[in-house]
Amino acid sequence: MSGPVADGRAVVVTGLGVLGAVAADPGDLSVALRAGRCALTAPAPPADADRPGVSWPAFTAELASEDVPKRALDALPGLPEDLRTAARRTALRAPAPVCAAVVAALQAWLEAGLDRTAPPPERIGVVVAGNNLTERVTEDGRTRAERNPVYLPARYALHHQDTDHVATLSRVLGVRGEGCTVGGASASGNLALAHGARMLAAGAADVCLVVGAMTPLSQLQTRGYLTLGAMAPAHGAPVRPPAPFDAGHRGFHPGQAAACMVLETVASARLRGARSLAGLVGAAVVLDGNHLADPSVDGEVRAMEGALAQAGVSASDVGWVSTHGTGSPLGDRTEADALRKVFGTGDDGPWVNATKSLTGHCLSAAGVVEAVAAVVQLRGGFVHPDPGRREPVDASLRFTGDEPRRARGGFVLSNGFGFGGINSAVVLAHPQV
Amino acid sequence: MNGSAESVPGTDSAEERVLAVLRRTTLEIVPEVEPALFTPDRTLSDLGCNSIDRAEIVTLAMEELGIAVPVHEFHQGMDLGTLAAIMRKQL
Repeated sequence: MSGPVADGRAVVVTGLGVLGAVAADPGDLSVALRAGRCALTAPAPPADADRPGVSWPAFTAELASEDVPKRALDALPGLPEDLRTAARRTALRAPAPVCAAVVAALQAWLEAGLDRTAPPPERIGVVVAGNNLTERVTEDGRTRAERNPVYLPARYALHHQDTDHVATLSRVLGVRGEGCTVGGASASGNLALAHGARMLAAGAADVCLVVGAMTPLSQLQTRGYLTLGAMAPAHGAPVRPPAPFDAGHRGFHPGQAAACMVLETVASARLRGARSLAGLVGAAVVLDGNHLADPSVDGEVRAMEGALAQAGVSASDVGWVSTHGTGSPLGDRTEADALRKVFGTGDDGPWVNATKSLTGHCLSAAGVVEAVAAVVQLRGGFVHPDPGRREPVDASLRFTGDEPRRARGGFVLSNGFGFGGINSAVVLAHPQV
Repeated sequence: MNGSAESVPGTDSAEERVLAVLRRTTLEIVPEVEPALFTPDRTLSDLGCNSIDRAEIVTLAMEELGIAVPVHEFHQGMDLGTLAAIMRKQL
């Protein structure tokens, strides 16, 4: 990320992976995005639904079953035998989200050709996006330990660490460079992309896998989001999920997906003969100085303008914006205000869409899922539709509707905002610009 | 002892039940284990289980059997028959 100058340490994307409710791999994601295939469904009410005060989400985009990642690992095509053995030996023992991360990372690893030719393992890093990833592991462990402490699963002390993702990925892929988790609530995905890109720009690695960790919510986390009014509740829900920025929005719908983006220096990609799928040309992270769930126009504008400035790209060069857009009325209104400030209200402004309309809100993974979706759209030459937006909250922005649109220019800006005033944006570029 | 879990001299039906639970939990935790190798004379290490696998298998088996064996009663290198006998005592 050194502006428009394509020096050897500029950062390109050489591999993509995704596994979630929305799609089983990047090819499937491309089909889903183009068609506006929405993964959200209304979950069955809980057993105690009639109890006063009980609440549950209106819509969710969850994996069909817990064993989807394990079956996806077994079915992954083109996996060399040694990698398959290491992956099975390690990931089949792992919690489902960690196994999903391994599948997404292997997809991206193979697309980048890292199974055939790779830098030394000491020059490959891994950054996992997300924090508080394992509450479900703890909730399950507590239930078992309540009968007798001896029944706490023996792997608990390993599995309850967020860094279990980092460790498992490094074991499967033989990664021996720098590795860590990067937490920024729902901005984690963009933060991890920024961190990975800096790792490359600083010369600490030549390849960095950025992995968005799937977030299956615990009962307490779900209840917490409902209590704050951030998550749309089942009571009073419409038949179909309203899209973000639709006048009917009433909170986010949780989604499950893991995603991976292989970042690589231009020099390394050139040396290996790896194809560049896109450039990661700008990233910015700024705080509001606020510890609440209270977004600010100023912070969001600073993040978007910071990312554009770093990319050396003007607002008029941006073909479309992949919004943070969660469907929270306050969040949507704040982001719409910020978009008007950055891009104006002219007829020639960028298209605006919200991938969460199809994937649900993938929380920690959202930024990586949406960056993968952005590269898929850049390469496919379309901006995905957002079915479920009948009445946009802001008539001056060019929201997509039921049909895919064609974007001009080769740049997309992708936003990610987290609780506690964490604002982030990244700029991705078509490889030919 | 080199017979199968079903017909080991000196085992009773309760011990066979323990062995069956150990076998099932072993295959659940370490799916790549060859089921035919699971015999009372072998150790979990012989089957390719590392120390954390072993702890996980024993924990899961105790939970399924509804027993709690004090940790100090387990020793490294115990064969599966001995392990089953110790767990059998708690039933």
